[in-house]
Amino acid sequence: MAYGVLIPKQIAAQNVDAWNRSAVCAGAIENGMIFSLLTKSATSGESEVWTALVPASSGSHLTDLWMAYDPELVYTSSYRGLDPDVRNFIVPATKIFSAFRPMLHDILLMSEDCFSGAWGGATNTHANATNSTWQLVWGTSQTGSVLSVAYLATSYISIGTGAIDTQRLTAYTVEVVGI
Amino acid sequence: MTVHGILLPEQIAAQNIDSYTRSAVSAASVDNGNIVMLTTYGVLAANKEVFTAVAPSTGNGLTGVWMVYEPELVWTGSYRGLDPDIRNFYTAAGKVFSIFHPQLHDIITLSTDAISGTIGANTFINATNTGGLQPEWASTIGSSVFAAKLLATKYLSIGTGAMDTQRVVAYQFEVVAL
Repeated sequence: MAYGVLIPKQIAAQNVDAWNRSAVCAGAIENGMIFSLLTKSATSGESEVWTALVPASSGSHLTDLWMAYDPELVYTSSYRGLDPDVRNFIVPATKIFSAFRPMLHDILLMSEDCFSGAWGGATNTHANATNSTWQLVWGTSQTGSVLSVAYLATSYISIGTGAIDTQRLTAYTVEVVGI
Repeated sequence: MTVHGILLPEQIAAQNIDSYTRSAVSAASVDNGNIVMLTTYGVLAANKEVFTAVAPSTGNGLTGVWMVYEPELVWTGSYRGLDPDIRNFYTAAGKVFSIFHPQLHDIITLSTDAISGTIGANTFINATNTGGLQPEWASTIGSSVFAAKLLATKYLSIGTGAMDTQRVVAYQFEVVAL
């Protein structure tokens, strides 16, 4: 299975340390997934680690969301870095990973696997945070008062698979328009 | 000869946050300090990361503006940098230029020529439907528009290449609405 690939082209979190955190989740997390960080982990040794929770309508937790972006060192059992294909990268459950806070006007390049559903053409101009969904969901308009990105362009991410040839992933350039 | 606007970004968040800076191109020539709205992305075949800039208006939007700020290397024919008078600087139509996204509490100084209208008793500049690419003087902060509050009247000392120096009247503002 291919997991999401994220390239943060222009994000404010690259310059503002406060918009970066460490997180942990009860389930596996892909880069580009979104979640709320409401409480810190209760696990010993994780006093500075936040618990990632799925975006939820209840309590207005479709805003103030964070996004996973961890170095793509693929896990192969207990080892990391043996598999060069970043499409195989996922953070296993309970492993600590890095998260950043998307801000207005951030520009992201996200592979199609980062989204729930297919882009489906120019009618889907936005992708929005949706109840009980870890990924942004394509939609025909911006949903009010949720984390939302606007489609800018279709692009590609060139990746190495370890094979002789190279691979191009379909990806979408998006701008954060609602937080 | 047209005297163009001068912008001095005294304290702007975009100086520290890269994502508040972009490249744009416009069908009209632009001065530093002009405000623009961004429409399409990747419009230039040779440069896919350039946005198209248009003047703010009721139709294009009056919030979320970006501001032009390009190094003042004056064009003289096909050459740049021969003319030291930055009042002659503007970006020609179709040329790529730099923009930044003003943030609340940014402090900027604009020369008189960068603002539409006259100061009079006004203490604000707003993005308006009539100001075109320039923010326009107003007595109050506009409703749901980009706006900046006048802090002080001051001067910009510039070199013209002559023996003397020149002082340009300018106004210092704080961004109060995005």
